[in-house]
Amino acid sequence: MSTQNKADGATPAPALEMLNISKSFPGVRALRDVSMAVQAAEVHALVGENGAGKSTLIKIATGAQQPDEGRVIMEGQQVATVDRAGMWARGMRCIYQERQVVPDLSVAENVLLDDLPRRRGLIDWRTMRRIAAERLDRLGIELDPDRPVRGLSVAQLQLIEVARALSDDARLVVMDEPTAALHRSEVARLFEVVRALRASGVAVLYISHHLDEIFELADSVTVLRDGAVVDSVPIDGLSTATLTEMMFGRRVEQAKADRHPVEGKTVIALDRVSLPGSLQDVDLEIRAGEVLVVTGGLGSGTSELAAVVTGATAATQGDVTMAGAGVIKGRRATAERVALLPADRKRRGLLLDESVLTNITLGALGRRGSPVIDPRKTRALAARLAKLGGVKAANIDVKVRTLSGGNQQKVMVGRWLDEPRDVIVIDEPTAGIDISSKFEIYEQVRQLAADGAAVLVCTTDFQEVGQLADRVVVLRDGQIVAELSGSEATEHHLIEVEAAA
Amino acid sequence: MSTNDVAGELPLGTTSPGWKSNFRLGDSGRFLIPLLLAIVVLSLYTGTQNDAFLSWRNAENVMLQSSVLGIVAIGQTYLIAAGQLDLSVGSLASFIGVLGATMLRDGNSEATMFIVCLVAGALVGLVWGLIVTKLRVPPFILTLGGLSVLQSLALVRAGDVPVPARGQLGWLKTEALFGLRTPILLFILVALVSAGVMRYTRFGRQLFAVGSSEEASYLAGLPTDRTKILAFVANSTLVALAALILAARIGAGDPRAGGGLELKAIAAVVLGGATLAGGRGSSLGTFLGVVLLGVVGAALTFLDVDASYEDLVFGGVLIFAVVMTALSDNKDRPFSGLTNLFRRPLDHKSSQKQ
Repeated sequence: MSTQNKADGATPAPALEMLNISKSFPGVRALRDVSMAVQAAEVHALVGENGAGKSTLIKIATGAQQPDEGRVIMEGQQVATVDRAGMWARGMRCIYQERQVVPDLSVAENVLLDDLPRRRGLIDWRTMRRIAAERLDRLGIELDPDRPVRGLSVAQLQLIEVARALSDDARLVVMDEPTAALHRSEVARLFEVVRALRASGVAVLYISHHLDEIFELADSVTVLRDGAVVDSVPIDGLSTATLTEMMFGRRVEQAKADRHPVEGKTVIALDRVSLPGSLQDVDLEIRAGEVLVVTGGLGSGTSELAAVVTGATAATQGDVTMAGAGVIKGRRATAERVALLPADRKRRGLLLDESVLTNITLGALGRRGSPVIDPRKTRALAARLAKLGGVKAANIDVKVRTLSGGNQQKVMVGRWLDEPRDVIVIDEPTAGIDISSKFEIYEQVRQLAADGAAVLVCTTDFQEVGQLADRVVVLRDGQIVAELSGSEATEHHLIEVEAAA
Repeated sequence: MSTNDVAGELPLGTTSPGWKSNFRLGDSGRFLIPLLLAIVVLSLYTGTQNDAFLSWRNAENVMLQSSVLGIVAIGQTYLIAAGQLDLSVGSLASFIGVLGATMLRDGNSEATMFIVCLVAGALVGLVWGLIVTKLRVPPFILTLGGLSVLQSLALVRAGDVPVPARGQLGWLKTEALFGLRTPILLFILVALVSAGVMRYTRFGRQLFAVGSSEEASYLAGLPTDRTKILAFVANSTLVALAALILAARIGAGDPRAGGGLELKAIAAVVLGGATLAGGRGSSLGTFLGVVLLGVVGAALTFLDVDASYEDLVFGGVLIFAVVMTALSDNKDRPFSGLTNLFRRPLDHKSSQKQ
């Protein structure tokens, strides 16, 4: 477009500059005097642990929130009012972490939702289909542009979101955890697209908890800690160790473990369990004192398995039996003994607009017990659970929405610590959580098993399997394809196992 | 690192466990003071214009006028807290009134009639609750249908004209304890008991959890279906009680008496701080919302405002209240769960990670 490289010859102005940005929320200073620049035609990574201020900075960069102080400059021009429309008009495109799709509109409409092509004021359906098909093709996905989005996989939704950002007018693409929902092969394709964007002069602001992605993709990196910029440096010459040290202000040690299956009493047994489209003839025993990790690629059925084990989803064939309770029917039947931490914490796990108190006592509220409740005792319980779970919050009356992902997950863990539970099922324990919180959560999970609980972890993140597992089961297309001991389950080995057809 | 290290940094243990934390108004509480203020200011102003306004007699009148709507609105609060809704309450009130009057006409004792009517009301709620939870029908549409069905049943049963019940049910409208008339006493009693239920019982807390996020509550092990069914039953039982008070006051089972009650009740609940998305609301808020509407109505009369303006003022008060609420709320989440009411209820069995 004509806006490209106005100042030919001279050094082009950065695609995005944020100068002396400060932002406060009641009780929190989210950003303090943050300055950073994303050059044209570079992939600029933004890293920091949860609560470091990344989300707030992204919200300002995409115009979702206004800074209290500071200036936002795009391609040399100061943005007067930082809002989404203004930033969008200047070529900002954003791929949000939370998939922003409209389920009942078609794929094509969703891809071009920001900018439906029109002719004489009316929607130009033919052009819309053509452009959408082109963009999906660039991402290597085959989808009928006319089908509704409802029913697509999480990965497909994520790619639609990516396709939306591939507009010709894009000057800066902000990608917030774009690979969180993608399969390895799709990630590779996404990276190609990111590199192609860079080659065509587009700037990319890339946010990820996966440092390996950042080293593979980024040209430079800005590190945030406690709402301030630690440094903004080229990626060359950085090591993972130095980068994590910048992020956390200390070294983060990765524990090496040698773990093997534990001989414990079987607490839950799955007998030829099937669920149409997700699980096939799964036989599995979950034993006391053991961390069993079920892993596999996206759509391999790990999440569905977690739902079946807890009774939240009824298997269409086969039985799930719990020791001392027989065949399980419904979540209510397992509530007293089986803790569940669902994936998609925000939608399925938490009451986002309620307090830490309400959320952390929700497990206790689901128990059978006296019909009368003493709010004072509930309060005391909440304080105790928050402490046990390691929740960091100003007090237990703050809404969980305002907490970082790591702290939200700790609230979810704390919810089940009121009484010993026989089984703990955790679906994607560390999705969207920074490294330091991750290790705390691994520690907690290991501790629960050491205390005698049967722990089932379902995860698509191969890196964390070895951190957690005594025993590993690999799923592909809803079937068990391998069973390994914890020490065998290196990321490399899992990739091989999963790929072997 | 051990979790104890982290816990050591927590100021959590220092949150005061005293009476203040026990009696905390919380999110719904911030509505009580503005409502009280509005009631007081409006009463004082009207009092300066017309001496008769600030009299015991008038206060009693306002409360008497408000009691039927009040009991219905408190019933609706149970539902709205749980993210549900019942639009059939007006028709149900008409139907129960007619049922009661015809039963008395047919020679049944007041006690029998009273019990049968409450049970009939409870059954209607049970049916709604079962359909909503087991068949996963959206409550909005279901009870919209119920509104028509019950209205028609009331007309059929009454033969299209009010069924007189004169000289009976006197105890439901005349003086009772503490110098308060029975309807007022019942209204206050229902409000207080409901406030207790919502705050101090497992069922009450579960109501708000389900209203806040049904799926998260279900996965956490809460009996979500049972909670919703109980809310429907509590609501329609209270509607039946209100219907009998109404019949006693007008001295007849009028098949049209309850018309429009549903919208006024919802308005009062929202005025009291609830949101239709669920998870918010309180019995005391609703109580004050109803009283405010009552005071506004009375004030208009005392200020000699033309009756045609009445609904304009009511509507204006409601719109003003919700706009103020929206302005003071978090602006980061524009279209929160309002869609709940129009969407099929969650199907846990097929819900997927998405």
